[in-house]
Amino acid sequence: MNELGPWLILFLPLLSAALIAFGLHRSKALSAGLSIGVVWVGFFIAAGFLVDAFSAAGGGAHGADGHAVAAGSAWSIHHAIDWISVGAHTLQYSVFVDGLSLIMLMVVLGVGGLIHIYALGYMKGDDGFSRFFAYLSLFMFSMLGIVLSDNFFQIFIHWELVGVSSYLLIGYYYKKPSASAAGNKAFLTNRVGDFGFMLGILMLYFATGTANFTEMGEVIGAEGWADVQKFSMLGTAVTNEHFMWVAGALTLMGVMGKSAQFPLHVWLPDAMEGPTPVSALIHAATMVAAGVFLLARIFFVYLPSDTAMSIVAHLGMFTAFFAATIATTQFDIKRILAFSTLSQLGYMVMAIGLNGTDVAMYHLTTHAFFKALLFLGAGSVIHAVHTNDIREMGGLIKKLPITSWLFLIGTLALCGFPWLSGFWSKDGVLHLTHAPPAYADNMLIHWLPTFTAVLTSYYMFRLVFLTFFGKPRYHGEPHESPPTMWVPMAVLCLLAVIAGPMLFTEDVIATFRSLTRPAGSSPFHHIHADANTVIHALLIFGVGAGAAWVTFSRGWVDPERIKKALGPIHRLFDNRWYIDDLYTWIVNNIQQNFARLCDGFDRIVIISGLVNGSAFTTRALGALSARYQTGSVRTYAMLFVAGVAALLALTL
Amino acid sequence: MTLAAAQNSVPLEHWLTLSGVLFTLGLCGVMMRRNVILVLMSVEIMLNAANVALVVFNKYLIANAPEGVALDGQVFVFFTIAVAAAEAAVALVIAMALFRRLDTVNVDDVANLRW
Amino acid sequence: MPSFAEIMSVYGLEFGLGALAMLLIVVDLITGRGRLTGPADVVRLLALGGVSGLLIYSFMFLHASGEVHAFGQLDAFALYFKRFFLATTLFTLLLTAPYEARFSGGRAEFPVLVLLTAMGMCMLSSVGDFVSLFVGLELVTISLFLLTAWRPGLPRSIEAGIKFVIIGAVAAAFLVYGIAFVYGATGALDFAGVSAAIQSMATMPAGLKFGLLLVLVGLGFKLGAVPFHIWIPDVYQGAPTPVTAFLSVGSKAAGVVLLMRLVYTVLGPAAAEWAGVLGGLAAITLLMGNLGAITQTDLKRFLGYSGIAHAGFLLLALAAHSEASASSILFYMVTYLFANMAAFLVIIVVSRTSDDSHMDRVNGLAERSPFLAFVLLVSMLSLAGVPPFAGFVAKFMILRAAMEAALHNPALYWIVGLSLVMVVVSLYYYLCVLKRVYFREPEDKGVLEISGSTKAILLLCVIATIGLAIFFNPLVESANAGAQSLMGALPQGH
Repeated sequence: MNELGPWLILFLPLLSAALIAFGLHRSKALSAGLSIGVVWVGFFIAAGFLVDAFSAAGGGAHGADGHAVAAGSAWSIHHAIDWISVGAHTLQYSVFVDGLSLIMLMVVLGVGGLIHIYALGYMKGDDGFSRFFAYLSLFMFSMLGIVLSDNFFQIFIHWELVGVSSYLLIGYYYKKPSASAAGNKAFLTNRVGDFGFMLGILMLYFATGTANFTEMGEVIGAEGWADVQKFSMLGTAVTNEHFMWVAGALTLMGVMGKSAQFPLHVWLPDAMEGPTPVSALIHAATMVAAGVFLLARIFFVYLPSDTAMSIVAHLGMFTAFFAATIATTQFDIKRILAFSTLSQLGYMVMAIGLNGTDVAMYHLTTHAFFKALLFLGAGSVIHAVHTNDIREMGGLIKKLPITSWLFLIGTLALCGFPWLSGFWSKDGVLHLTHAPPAYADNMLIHWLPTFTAVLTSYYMFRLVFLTFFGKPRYHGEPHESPPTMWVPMAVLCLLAVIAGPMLFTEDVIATFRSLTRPAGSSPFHHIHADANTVIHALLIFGVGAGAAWVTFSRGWVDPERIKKALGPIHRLFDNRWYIDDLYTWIVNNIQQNFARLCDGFDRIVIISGLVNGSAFTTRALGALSARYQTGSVRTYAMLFVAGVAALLALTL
Repeated sequence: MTLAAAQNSVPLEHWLTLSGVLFTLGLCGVMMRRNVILVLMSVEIMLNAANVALVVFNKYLIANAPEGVALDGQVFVFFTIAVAAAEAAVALVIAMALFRRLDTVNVDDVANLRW
Repeated sequence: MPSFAEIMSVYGLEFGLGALAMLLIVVDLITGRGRLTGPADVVRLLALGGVSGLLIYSFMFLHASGEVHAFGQLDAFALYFKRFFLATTLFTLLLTAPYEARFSGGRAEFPVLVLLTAMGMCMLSSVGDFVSLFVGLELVTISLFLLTAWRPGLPRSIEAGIKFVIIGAVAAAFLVYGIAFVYGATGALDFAGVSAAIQSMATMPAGLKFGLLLVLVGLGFKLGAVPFHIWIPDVYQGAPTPVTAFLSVGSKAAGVVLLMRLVYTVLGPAAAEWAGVLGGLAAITLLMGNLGAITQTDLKRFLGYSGIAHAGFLLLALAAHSEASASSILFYMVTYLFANMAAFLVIIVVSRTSDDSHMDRVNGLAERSPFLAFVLLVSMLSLAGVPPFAGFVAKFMILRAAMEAALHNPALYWIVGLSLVMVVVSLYYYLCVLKRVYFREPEDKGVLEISGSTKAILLLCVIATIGLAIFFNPLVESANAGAQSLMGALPQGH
């Protein structure tokens, strides 16, 4: 199974997508069944690996002092086939399962599997039902390729495949102009990031002479940034710290594009135009997490430079805060969740920047549970009331009791309510920020993430109060969703509740963290759920939720008055810090003018001159050059003989 | 008369000239004749020109190095004759089809596939 | 005298094909002539089964050997091409199934002739002397004459047959005449002897050059090299479509395999001075093939010109004359096989009712059958050499080999440049076809029904065309092995 398992996990979804595309699509039941089946088969294979990994790492988890665990774990599966070899360079296609990718596998397959089932109910009756499942399978293949890759080139290919399949999924309702526009926006924004990513990969490849993560990690780990120069293509003059700066920054662009970090975050809120299961799958659990996963994977690139690590940390910190502020002003239920996702991803990126890869991966895992739950809950609500606007909801807890309660528990988990999963993971991150490494030790890192956590509670409870409590403002008669929809939500809810010490005992968490911590990161400190931490968490929760309660449930404070009081700050938040407008302005004024210039050149010189001219010339030549083919066999014989004569005359 | 004597009596160049003239005649026939049967006969003449060359070259080689040269050139001629016969048979079948279907043996009448 | 076992070790497949052909004749006799459906189906199934069996046999049990016999050899190069020819034959037989309802008769004999042609082709990949070369080549050509004129009720089939026979016979005469002069100049008819004689000469005498040039004419005729391509458009258009497919892949490959054998082993080191001739032929072939294709309105004729253009690429690789270029030719042929067979099968399907292959038949194909449209898209783009299809990898390999060779032979830069321009031209005409498929209104709006087996064959071609662009290494490795054996096996005289 170790031989075949990873390959099956990777290629079964591709097979499923192909089968659906080339024939099965006529049967909706078969398409959906196949698509769901392959994900779960993969999940159980991966679960088998997890058992293996834990039993292999279990011994090492009990370190000498019981707290700090030996970094990294020896457990891994690695199979590679030579894919392309050009000269001395061989490109491998591989499956590489180590602790990090195993955790990611479990998240992608487990959460993905539940979302597949949910989609069964959500997409019922849609014309493109089979097409949707084909896309989902294609997406799973792309995503799993990122997780299982052991080198940069393979990851890049799957990175692009993820881009394509998410484009297809976001633009799934392609007849809706806003949906296809959102698809384009996601794709284009990601292209910007991916362009940098590709250049970064090439530079790293030139600098270290390998694209394999393990080998590259060894080179960079041994040499540091200043002396990375293994590859003969570049002389000593180029491969120095500056080179690595550029390479690292460019590679980070890939992360920023996929994980929607500031300033490449603009696509994620718009991407909510896609069907809700897609939002849950791509924009909560998997694709956006790919950036964080990649960052954890290539952690070693940034590790040698304190400044680089610090930049990553501050980038994450800012994105977390920035997105949370915007979330407080939005009214579209899915967009609020989207900005919340941005914010949480910021936490993860920040944690990696603070040398806490394992904490980031833990938060990624718990976040996948509760954010997928929230998205599915939102989908269930939208399904019932046919609108995304929370101002047109209210009081839904009476009509949709199951959805409402599940959503509420998810919200509590997200806000870090003590002893729910979010408490453990988010507190791990906040813990890091309160005792950051020396290179990032400043007031902002200390307190901004905590304040952001308060904002999180505020905007989430604003959402909850407006949606589920208070007076009904909806139209029509909402109904609870079918079991295919709420059962996956219930499972996710269960996970969101117990993904702390209840599911993961101290030992399991220690092992989990030893699995997800790459070599070279600093020793890890446990979270202790002591009185201090609990009070801290409750305080954060209480302030945020309380403010929301006062404003949106009791109505003691009029939201309009807050708006007025905050004035320009509110407008800033409401307009998403004007980033989208800035981009629009740049596109309209600078890029458009440049484009007009190019267009003029194109029309006058290229099209009329070169293209039409050469097309005309070519056709004319073509017409001429078939003219000798008169149809008469005697002419042919003459031409043949003339050809022979010419050949002889020219050669002899 | 020995082989060498035969060789001496008519020089190689003359034989090759004969062969060349035959070949050219055949070629001209292919290009100029309209009747498909005659075209095919002209092709046979070209092949026979090649046969003449083969036989002559073989004899010439034997005359120059009598101890170890095989008769392979002359053997080749049998192959070309056999192959030419097969070719002619097939060509005549197609010519017959032409005559039956289109009632003509003039190759200029079949020029619909062009350009 | 070589023993029977020795001969069988090289020509086992050919004996198999011959025996299969005989068996088919006997079966046809026994099961009763005259009836149209029953026996023909039995014969076709037998032929399919037999060829598949031989193909599997060649993969599982046949191994390349470095041994060079007087009568031929089974090196990696020969084995590669034998498998290629068997695959081509298999495809031809598969393509015949949906077409043969249009035959007025001779449905049982058709596969027999296909098998005999295949026998000749396989033989050509192993031959070691000019006599077998001539006999093998004529076996291929004469069988193809008959196959071309297989629909005597159809004037264009007869016309194609007549033209093919006359030009083919002239080419054969040139070939024999050339062989005679090579023989006269070197005193040998076997490749080893000719090669040894050429290597012992300081400069080539004019008679030898004359002979070799005429041999080149004879093989250029098969390959479709300009100016000996003159028969191709008419014959491709007039022949029954499966035969056109067979001609376009198999017959061209027969020319390729012989040219490679002659250039790489017979000429050997002397080939360097032939780079100019081959390069010149490549240039004019690329030019005329691509330009000629632009204004075509018949799909089969169009593919004929496209095939000439591809021959130009193959000649360019031959002119580059390196191991890498030889390997790239071997790879190229396989990608060409899949793309071409798919295109011809699509033509067979779309011309089902009208029985002609005018380009209007694919107008609006995307509406009538999205699957067929997609297949044609993959096929055309692969032929044009667009990534991510196999044709791109193949063209890339040839151009890379040519650029490497150009370091020693700067004239090749010009031909490479020309070929790049011609790639753009070819993109134009391939896209013109696709424009009809996707943007024109169909004449007949009815949905095109495709049988399961046809779908399976097309799917195989598509998967191979895309798969070879991604996982090309295994094929490249076996092409490399073939090229190595070709380069390494310089015969050392007797």
